[in-house]
Amino acid sequence: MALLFPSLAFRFQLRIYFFILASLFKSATVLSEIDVDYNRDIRSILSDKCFECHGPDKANRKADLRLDTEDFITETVAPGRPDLSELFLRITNSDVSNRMPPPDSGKVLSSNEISTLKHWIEEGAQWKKHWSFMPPKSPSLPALSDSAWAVGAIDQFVLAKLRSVGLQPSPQANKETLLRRVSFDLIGLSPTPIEIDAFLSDSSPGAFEKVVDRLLASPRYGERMALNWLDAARYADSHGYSLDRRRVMWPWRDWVIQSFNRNLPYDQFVIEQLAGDLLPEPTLAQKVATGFNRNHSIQSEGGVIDEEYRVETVVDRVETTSAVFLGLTFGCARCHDHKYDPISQEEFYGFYALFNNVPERAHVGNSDKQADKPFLKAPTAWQQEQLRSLGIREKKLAKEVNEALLPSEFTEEIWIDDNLPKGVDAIGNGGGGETFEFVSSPDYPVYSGKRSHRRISQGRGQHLVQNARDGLLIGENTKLFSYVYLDPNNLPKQIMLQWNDGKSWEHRAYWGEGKIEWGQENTASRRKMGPLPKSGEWVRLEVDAKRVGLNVGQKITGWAFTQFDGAVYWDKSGMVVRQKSNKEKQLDAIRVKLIKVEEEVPTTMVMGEKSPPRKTFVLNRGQYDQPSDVGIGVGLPVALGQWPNDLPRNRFGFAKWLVSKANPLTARVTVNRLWQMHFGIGIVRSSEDFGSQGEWPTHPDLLDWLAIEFMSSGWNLKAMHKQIVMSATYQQSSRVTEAVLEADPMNRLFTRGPRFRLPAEMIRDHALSSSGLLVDYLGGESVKPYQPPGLWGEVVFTNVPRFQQDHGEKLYRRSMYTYWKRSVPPPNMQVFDAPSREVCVLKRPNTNTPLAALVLMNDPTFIEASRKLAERIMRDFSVNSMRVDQLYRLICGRKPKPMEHRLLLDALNDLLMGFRVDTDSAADLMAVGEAPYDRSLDLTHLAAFTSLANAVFCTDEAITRN
Amino acid sequence: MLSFVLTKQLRETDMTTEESAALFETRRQFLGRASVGIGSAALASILNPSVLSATGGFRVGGLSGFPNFAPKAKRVIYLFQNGAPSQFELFDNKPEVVRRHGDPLDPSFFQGQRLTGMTSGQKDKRICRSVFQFNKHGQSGIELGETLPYLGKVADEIAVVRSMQTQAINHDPAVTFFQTGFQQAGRPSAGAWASYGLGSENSDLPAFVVMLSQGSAKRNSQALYARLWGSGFLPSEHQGVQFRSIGDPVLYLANPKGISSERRRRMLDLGQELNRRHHERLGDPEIVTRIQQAEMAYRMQASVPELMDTKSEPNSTFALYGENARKPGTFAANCLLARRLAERGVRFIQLYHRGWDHHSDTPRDMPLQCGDIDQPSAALISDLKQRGMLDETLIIWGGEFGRTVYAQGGLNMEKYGRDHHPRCFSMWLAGGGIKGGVTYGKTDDFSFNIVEDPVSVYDLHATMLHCLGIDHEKLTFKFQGRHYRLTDVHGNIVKGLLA
Repeated sequence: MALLFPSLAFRFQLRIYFFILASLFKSATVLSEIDVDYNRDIRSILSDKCFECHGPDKANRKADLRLDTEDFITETVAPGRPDLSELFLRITNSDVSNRMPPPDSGKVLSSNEISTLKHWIEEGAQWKKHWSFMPPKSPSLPALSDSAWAVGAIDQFVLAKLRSVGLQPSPQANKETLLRRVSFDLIGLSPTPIEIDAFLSDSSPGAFEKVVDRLLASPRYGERMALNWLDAARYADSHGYSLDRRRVMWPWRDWVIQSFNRNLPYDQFVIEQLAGDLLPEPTLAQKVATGFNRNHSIQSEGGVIDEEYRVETVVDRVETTSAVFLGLTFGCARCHDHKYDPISQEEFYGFYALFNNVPERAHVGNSDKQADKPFLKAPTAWQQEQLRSLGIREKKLAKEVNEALLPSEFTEEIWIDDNLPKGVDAIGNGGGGETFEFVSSPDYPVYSGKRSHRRISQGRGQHLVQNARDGLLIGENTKLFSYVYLDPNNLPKQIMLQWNDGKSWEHRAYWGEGKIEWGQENTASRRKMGPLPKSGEWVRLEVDAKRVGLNVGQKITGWAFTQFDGAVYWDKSGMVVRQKSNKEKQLDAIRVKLIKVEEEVPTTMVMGEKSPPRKTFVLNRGQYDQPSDVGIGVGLPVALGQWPNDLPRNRFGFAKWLVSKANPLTARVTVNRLWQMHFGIGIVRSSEDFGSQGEWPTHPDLLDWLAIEFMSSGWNLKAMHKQIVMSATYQQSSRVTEAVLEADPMNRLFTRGPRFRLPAEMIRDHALSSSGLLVDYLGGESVKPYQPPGLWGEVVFTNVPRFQQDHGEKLYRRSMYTYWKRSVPPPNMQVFDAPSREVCVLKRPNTNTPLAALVLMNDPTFIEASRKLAERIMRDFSVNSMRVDQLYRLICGRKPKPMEHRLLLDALNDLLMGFRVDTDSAADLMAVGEAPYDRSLDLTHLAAFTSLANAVFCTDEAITRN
Repeated sequence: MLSFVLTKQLRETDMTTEESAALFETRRQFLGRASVGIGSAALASILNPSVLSATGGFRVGGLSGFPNFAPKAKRVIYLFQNGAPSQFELFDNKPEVVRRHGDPLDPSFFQGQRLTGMTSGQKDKRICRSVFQFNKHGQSGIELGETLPYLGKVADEIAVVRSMQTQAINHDPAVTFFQTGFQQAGRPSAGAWASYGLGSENSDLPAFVVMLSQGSAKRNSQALYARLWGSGFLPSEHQGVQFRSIGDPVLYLANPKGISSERRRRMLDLGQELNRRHHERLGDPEIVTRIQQAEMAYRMQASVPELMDTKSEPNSTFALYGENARKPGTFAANCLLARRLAERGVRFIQLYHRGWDHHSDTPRDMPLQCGDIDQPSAALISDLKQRGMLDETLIIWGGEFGRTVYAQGGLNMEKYGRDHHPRCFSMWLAGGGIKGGVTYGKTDDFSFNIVEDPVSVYDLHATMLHCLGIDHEKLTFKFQGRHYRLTDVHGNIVKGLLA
């Protein structure tokens, strides 16, 4: 009722607001009871309000005063005496022209901030190094009386904090909620009804732990964990800039999934991704792992200067690497010293030098699946097995063939004579028209049979056959031949034969002048064979297949007869091959298979080192074309420590340092993100910034305890996840009362269980899995499920291919396998805050918009899933009442309460009534999505249950992990 | 009433923008929480958290304290010309270029100017005149190329800036710079900043709407990217919403076949009732927001098609905008929609028209492109004026950079083209806050360098925000420890353009 009294409501409102400040960020209102801590209370004020002019950036420092190091205290502070402290006098000066910060800075110190500073000076003005730059120390567990609630260390820290502000934790969530929560968190999918039943009926004390162990062992675990990692690593399936064409980096993505699944220790996970190529005798997988720093965007625009984008690429690596592993914003020091953190511009380039030695061009061309160097072929496990077994058979057969006495008879295999090969397209183009024209004797010259084919052209003209189903298989010593007759009264300037190997026409031989410009001279794509043959008679043209790049095992699927000017007749064409033994034919078949597998092997970009190394210079104002003469070697910012003597000054040494005890940040930054995954918010809320401008941890001791626990477990990710989800803190009910909401509005104190909307991918995956549509194999090439028409065409460069939707199983793979085009990200995930993957993202926003509601309502994905779910429940149950319960259970993970059950049944009856008199609509609804519907089921019921399922998918509970 | 009090009081507390954003977040949660147990009718009214803006109008979202001062413009219509239209043919008449036509360009001009890879290797760079004449228009006598006759009729309403300059020379970074204030991906777009700062004046439509059109030029069109209307590190609800001519006008707007509006209502009623009960049990205010957003989605299913359906417009409208305005997806149709969106209080209306990258065939393609944009752009100005909305709507027209005085390839007057030129180029502005009939800035005889009053992209942004009543140094968002602005650490208001 407070609502009716604005003033009351307003006061209440302000109380909430001040509570946030007071309880979490320590403002003056409660400081009288708590000691001021420089790191917690003071640095953030100085950093935000003063460092810009009095901080690490020496070029912009005013009055030669810096407030980011300890020295300022002796210079400007009289401990215990604010009234004698220059610092305090300046910020409180009544003369505006003397007051700090100056008005034109746009910065104002609030009265709370001023009194906090005063209090700090009164207490003696203790200075401390920035907390996150000091190594985590093993904290002692807080002493608690009557702490039965706490099941582990996590809970003890949380409970101590709650008690200190007079709050209590919430009771444990009910079993259905808990199961759904932990299932989404660990494998990204909801529990099945069977799993729910099993958990509900398991009353043993270890029931929940069993569930956790099952989830951690599931192959789905790796996919779920990869979700966040792909955001961090800015993984995508397109190059980003300009043409934004398809790239292949999914072998790296699959490496990530597999690494999570086999629980690769996180230190090794880091080392392999940053420097796998520099390990002693690296495996293929370790090299593929380095794709982490090749996931950046790559230019493709014509006319760009490569160096400009190479520099952007290196900067991107610095920004991504520093944010992901150190929680620092190195990028700010590209053009000048960092404004807030102790990272000088020179130190930035010392870090930059680590990533500046890749032999790359930073540019790709205008076709799909182009890779910028360095790259490598990364066969999947299946492909490796195929290549291995086919290779063994090939070797064995080749040996047998070698040792056998082979037939020496040569035969002609004729491909084109009076008839064309089966199934080809025969066309013409250029001068002479668009047909493949046969002429007959005796009116025209013919060499073999009754017909020859002819073209009279001005300029370039040709006729050809293509897309043959059974091509000509190239063997050893194969020669290709055609017969040609040049009209002496209308001579061409040039004739050319071209062959298609199923992919391209880059196999050409020509006679005469060089008028036809295709191909590159003196390569297989353009071989000059000699002058024009004699005219007025039939001449046999013969070309060694190898010379035009056609090798054993390849197949010719097209043959073009090309000329420049003149009248040209062609006849009998084919190849000369030695008669083969049966063994040789088997060998050919194996080689064809091998080639096919090899062609499918993906090429993935990796890191590499240039030799001799590229020198790094400080770039003036960060500009690629303004290198200074200050040469910089690889190094670490002084504030982070010394480069260890026993480690090489390269990416490998850096990666080893990252995961060493000498580095205070990586373990903290990592456990904070794991915490964020499970609680929606980190212990340090600014999970991407652990620097001066970052937020003070709500539970510093807990953060350090987790970091140390993580390191001492051998950087064991699964163990850390288990540690968190087994805590009583995690397992709390999320139910919130008005009082608790007032006291802890953002749940920063963990007064209740974490409740937040599912990430984009999980929303779609949940629809697919609960309806039974989900196809669950791991990895492979990215897929293109449904998206609205025309989205790419509106924005892509004119000659770049448009979206081609996939069909069948590819429509139903987990969303992390959806093709990610950076300039047009998948629209139904974008509205649920999935990023474009152009830059590193460590924390997604979690918005709640009408556009998101529209996706749930109308995206064919969700309609089709509703329809398949309807079929599923109708097949499994025969009574509507039970069907409704099962429907609700599949979507929300619990049985509906009696009142909800009644609401569902009422709605179902209304919907049934509607569809009964409107069967056309029912049929229309069945046509949404490509999965056929089960025609054995009653159409009216199916349509009504489909609508009902869709309505439930649209609810908050359906898309929230509670 | 409640909201008004809140806004007024909080402005006095002099919070940073981030703090006030946090407070708004809390206020939203509060509104949600307070509604426990209130019937659905009351709920519906609570769930439109609107505040009275400084100008007294209805407003959803936005930061308290914004606008910072009385705005001249309530909204922006940005007519972006993708590919970079040439200043030589349209806005910057150069008699000296005509006289020196065919002469090799003095190499001293190039001091330090980088060229694209498309002409850096071209040895022979000859000065190339425009094949189009210039005419003076209106009382102000603004000079415009002959392919812009309609714009000439409203010349006294527009301010032509001849002294725009940018830092980027390739399309992708240059367009990204114009739209986000930074050449690389990751920053919020101008429209997202406006939405974040000022919110919307319509609870049934997004604050930031984007529409695309293809040019008539017979050439490849340069690409566009979602980042151009993205929200960068701002909350993603501020990203531009595309209104489309293909398929649903807003993605996923239409119910599937078989679900009528009545059936959807019945389904929604069930969902909302389940949501309400769930909220009663759990108390999470986010559920209430979910209810509200679903209702807005349902309302959009009616309001958006109504907005997009221009059939009810009188014939005089199509006489004004041209018959092309009847064809969905044309620039003309989008201009008409821009007016309809402006009428409904949409804050930032961003159009993109493609096809201006005239490396060759300027004589063929320039009239085609101008045929697309000339009449509708001028119509938008007159139409807003006749509705009394021009002085509260800022219109911006222009591309991402200029073009070279020399011809790319040969000096063939039937087929000549020009390469990219970032040092100077022209744009025009009109409407709220802008002085009409002005030609601002001056370039040298070859439109190679600016000689008077350079205007940077940052300056344009600062001026645009100024017209909206925003101090561009105050509209900030803290991300990765830094207080980011659209204008980064730059930007001067171009006073000479202001009314």
